[in-house]
Amino acid sequence: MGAVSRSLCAGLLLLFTLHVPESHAAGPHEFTAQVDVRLIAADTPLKSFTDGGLGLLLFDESRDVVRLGPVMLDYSGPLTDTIRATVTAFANGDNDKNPIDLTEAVLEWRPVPVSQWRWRARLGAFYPAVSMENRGIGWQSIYSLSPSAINTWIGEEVRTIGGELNLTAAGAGVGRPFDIGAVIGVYGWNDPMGVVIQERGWAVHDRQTALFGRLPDINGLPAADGSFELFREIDGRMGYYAGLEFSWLDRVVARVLHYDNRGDPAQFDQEEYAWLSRFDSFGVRIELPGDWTVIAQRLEGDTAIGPSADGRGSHILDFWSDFLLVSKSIGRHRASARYEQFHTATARGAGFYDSHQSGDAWTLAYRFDLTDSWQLQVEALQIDSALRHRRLQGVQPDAVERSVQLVVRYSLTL
Amino acid sequence: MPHFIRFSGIATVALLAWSSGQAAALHALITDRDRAPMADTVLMLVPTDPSRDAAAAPQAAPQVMDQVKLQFNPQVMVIGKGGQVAFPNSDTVAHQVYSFSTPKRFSLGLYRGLPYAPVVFDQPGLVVLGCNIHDFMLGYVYVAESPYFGKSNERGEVHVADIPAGTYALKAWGPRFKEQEAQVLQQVTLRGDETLDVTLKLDRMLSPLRNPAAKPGKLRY
Ligand SMILES: [Cu+2]
Repeated sequence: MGAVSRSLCAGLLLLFTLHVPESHAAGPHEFTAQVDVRLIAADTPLKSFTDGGLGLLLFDESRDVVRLGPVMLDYSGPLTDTIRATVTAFANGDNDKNPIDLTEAVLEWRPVPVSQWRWRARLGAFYPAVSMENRGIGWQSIYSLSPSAINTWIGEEVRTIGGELNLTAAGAGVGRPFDIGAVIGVYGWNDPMGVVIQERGWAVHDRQTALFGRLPDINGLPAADGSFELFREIDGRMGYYAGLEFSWLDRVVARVLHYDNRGDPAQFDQEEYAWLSRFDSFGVRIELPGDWTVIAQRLEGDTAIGPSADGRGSHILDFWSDFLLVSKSIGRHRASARYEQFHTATARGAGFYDSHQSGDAWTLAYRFDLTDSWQLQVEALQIDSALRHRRLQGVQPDAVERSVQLVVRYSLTL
Repeated sequence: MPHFIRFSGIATVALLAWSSGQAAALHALITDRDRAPMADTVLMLVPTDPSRDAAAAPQAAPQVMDQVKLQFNPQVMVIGKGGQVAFPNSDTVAHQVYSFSTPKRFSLGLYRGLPYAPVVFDQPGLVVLGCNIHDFMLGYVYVAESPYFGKSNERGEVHVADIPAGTYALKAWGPRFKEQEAQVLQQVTLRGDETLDVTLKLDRMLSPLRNPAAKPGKLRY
């Protein structure tokens, strides 16, 4: 089992002390504890990015075959009748700075609607509504273990640390079959965003970066063993995002979002540069008769770093990805298949650092909810990618990486 | 807008043997345009003579609309004026039930289990229920304007018994209706000790149902 960290033991201990029959659930305060036991088979010529390599799998061949964890702890409950607090923490058991760390901590104001106009406000650290997959507690995908490359990246580098306001004209209460909503967010502490996609490119996994956690340096150099903190303010400039959501009878949900962290690429705080990162995302989820679900998403953007005469950055990276997911649920079973493509290309400054990635991935996933608490998941993943600066680590740029994970998940809500 | 609705016109009058008593009954089959049975459709008989409207609904025991797996269960309920509905929450997650429909505005603060007394519905009409935590949750309480009502089962059948003889407007409403008010289907005249058999084909565009919560999985977003 290698290093089953103290955090996991602590999490498990907490889990078992919390273990009382579900019928005792009462009151509006919800505590959720979740723990995985994973059986992992990996087939890859590369070292995982979590060990400073340029492989795209979370677990490479050197990792344990059987893993305990991650453990997730989540609380959600009311502070007042219309303000709700939600806090989510993960223990990944992978030598992050803090054995257990927060991924989200948010206050949400939900006034009870008195007309079709529905106001929502969030304040804290949370995910902007980009993903059409990550709908579960702890921002986990309900369709597969690992979200798409797009939403893997959101989980790695994107967090709103700030506020968000959402206004929706909801049709259900007034007999209209569709809803239209608008959202705007303002945030800081997201200046290093862009460093992961520039250094490693896209990946497919379900590890979310913790708010106070550190990521290993992945700059393609053989001696990369440093680490850095992702959620920090460097340039003193706030970022924003603005988006629209349309829903028809909850059967077709479409979202667009424009995101701009308004970073100043010339700023440096002795540890990390501020990155200027912007993207547009488009997503649609369609629920078809027979419990079929189709999800398509596209995200494209750029990120820039370093001083330049025009202020746009001395190094600019373009990135884009899209995926198609088809899922079918039958009772307590769900099977999903996903295909995606992902790319990065250096648009300026390639002579200094030529980040260039091109790849695609297939994901086949099956989940079976045996009970409300016990769940079985199987996921097969194949990533076929070329990453130019793998040469810097003395390995071939092209690689096919495969993994199969069998997960027994215990999740209890009290 | 009753003219949107056409009927198959099959209003078969099944005359039963005369016997004592004054009450009549209605047996309806409700289908969509393709003759597929329509479940969860509310059917009411409203006296055309307004002076007969005085008949109050008998005070019934509170009905129960549960919340199971992030859905209201049953999703559609019909009650009489002054009827009561309890809203227990059988899920492990908390719900916050509310409505801003004109006939009844209310909200039950975030809860699990059954901490609140039943809600009283005094005004007739459609009350659309939502959950302020799960925006996709949707339920309907139809407060009937007369005491003679029923709701179709899975086979599209509605039985209404103990109807005084007289002339009635047959009105219907279901979650697939585009309007939020019950629609007049036709008039019927009932004589005592008669069971009227009708087939009601809703010959118009109905909306598809809203998508119920995705399953399996504990949804938050
Ligand atoms: Cu709810």
